[in-house]
Amino acid sequence: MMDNDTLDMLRTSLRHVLTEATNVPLADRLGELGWDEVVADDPVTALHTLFTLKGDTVSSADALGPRLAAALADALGDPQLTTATVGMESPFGPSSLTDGSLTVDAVVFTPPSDNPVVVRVDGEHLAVVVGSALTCTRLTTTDGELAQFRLTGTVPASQVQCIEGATASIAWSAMVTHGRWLLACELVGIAQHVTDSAAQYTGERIQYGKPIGTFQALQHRIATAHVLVVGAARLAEHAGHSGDEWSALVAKAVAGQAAETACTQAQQCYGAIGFTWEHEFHHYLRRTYVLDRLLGDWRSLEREIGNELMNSRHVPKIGML
Amino acid sequence: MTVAPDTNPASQLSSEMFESPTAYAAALEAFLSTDERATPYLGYRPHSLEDSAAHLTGLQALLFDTGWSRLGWPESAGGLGGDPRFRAAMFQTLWNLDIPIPEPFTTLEILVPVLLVFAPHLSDALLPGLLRGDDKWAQAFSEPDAGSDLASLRTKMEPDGDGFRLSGQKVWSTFGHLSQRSVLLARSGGPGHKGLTMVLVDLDQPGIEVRPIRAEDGENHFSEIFLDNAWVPADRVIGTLGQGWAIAMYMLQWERGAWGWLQQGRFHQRLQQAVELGTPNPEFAQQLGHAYALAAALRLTTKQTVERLAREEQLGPEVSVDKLLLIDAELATWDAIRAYLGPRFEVDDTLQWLRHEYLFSRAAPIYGGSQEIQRTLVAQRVLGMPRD
Repeated sequence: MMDNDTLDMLRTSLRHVLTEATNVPLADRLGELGWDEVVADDPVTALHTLFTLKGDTVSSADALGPRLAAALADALGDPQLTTATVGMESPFGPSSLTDGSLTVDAVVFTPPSDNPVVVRVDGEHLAVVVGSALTCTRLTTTDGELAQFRLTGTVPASQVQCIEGATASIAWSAMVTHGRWLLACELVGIAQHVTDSAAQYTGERIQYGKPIGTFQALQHRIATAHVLVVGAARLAEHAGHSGDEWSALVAKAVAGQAAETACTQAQQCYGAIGFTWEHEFHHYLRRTYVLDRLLGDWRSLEREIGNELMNSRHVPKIGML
Repeated sequence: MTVAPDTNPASQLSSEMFESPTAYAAALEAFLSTDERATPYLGYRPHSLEDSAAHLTGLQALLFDTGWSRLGWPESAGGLGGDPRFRAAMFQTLWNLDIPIPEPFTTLEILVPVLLVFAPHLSDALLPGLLRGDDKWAQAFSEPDAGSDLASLRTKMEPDGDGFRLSGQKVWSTFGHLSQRSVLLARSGGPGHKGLTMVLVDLDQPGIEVRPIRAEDGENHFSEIFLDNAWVPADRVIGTLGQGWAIAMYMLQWERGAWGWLQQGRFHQRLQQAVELGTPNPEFAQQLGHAYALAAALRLTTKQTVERLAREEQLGPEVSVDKLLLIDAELATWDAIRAYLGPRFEVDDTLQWLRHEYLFSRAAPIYGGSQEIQRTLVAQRVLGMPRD
């Protein structure tokens, strides 16, 4: 386990890496920090810190893509897949494997080159295909800075490695669980930043001869957001330590909701300035919308939780004393 | 952790259970689900609050005599040592088995830590009886004109010989009409916070009349207490004269922290009841999922608070976050249950107990410092927003 001094140093270094202006990929810059050793030593603290800071700084670096590949490679016991690009579900259509060919429609954060691309086909199997066989188009998104690309193409089955059955389902679930935890951390980082920064702003902005933060109407907005953010933070921490599917599902549901609530309440506290590009707020709002959609938005996840409770007739408890 | 040798022959505790709350909880669950003395409490559904109080006094005595409820309290309170996590584990175990928590346990959580710190001279004589349920205590803080603005309270406390005389009116005293004594906040000095003193007063005396108040669910949850020259001896002062407000603030960390953990256990249990009773319907999936997610957030947040209390950390205004999360989780849980169980919720005889709990949940944003007061505290004292 990392001690507090080491953790502070790590935070400082990561904040620098996440905010520096450069085109060098995040993975390479993290490599210079000895990141792989930090992760090997204490993966939960390292990754929790990285993704929370990534939310806090609205960094657009692709940290998630490599983690999804690592989780999938780990679950499949195939080290070669650590360099893979994992295609996430595309809102434009499914990927499918029929009639001797693979049709791909997937979304990624970094364009693949000649490395393997893994996509989920027909909602159950996994297909692995070389990236250069697919067409990659940059998407215009709600968040102009966090790059997302659509991968499309049709590839003959002979060029496709198919992973079937339980192996595929278990590995994909493990990857989704890992990704939901990290996204929950990132959304919590956003939510904390937005709440704290709006609280501070209301102490500076003067109207009617006093700081607008003295008005209970605004105090209660920010307090409402803060309460959900604290709950989301505890759930994200727990999801990291437990690593279980259910905790990550609940953590991402609450984190998405906390970030959206924080943005809604903060926006009103900022007033008109928060609606402009003069202020940083719009970056956080846009990022929230995009991240919430990944691996299940908070409303869908709440439905998933509710359906599971009703159908299993069992209400599990997260975290023991 | 200091642990007293448990010489009680009826004790069900063994040394391993003192090691961890998890081992303790597992053993307690085994005891309660197999020992026939616990059978009358499993899935107990009260007909009225008074019936419930009488019935569950037996459970409180059983848990004390067998040692279970003594773990987690210091010896000076009649306990066996161990930190508050053991109490939290006991509450969770009771909920797991659908055994209602005797109301005095929630009072203990709030009053005993205060007595131990501010009135140790009363602990030995009074706390064991309180822990066992032989004696029941209430709290009397609010007044008709002092609710959220507690510091404006007016009940007078005047010296008289080797004690004090109390005159005034208290309200919202939980279980007041079923209690023998009450911790009470009165004005012994001038206006404002500094003129307040906390005392422990006997309710069965000529100068005191206690009248129950019927709450929204039809049960007598609280009482009014009328004091007309009531007597309290000098050794029943908790802390010192004028220290009442500071003690009330100390009390809040327990009221807002440990209470939240106890309640999350109830929300999980009641959601469990609802999914056993209801018919799956996707229409209610999100509402149930939302309630569960908030209950889970409350669980982990209050778990951390209980662990901090166990490490004897002094908690600050951040415990208001626990209280606010509790309010959100409580309202969401009961709204989801009521929606999911449908029209029968309002008219089914067998659901009366659940209906009463639903109705009582409407008090969540009001009692113990309203939602608005808590939000203001969080904004100003946790997030540093400016005061007017």
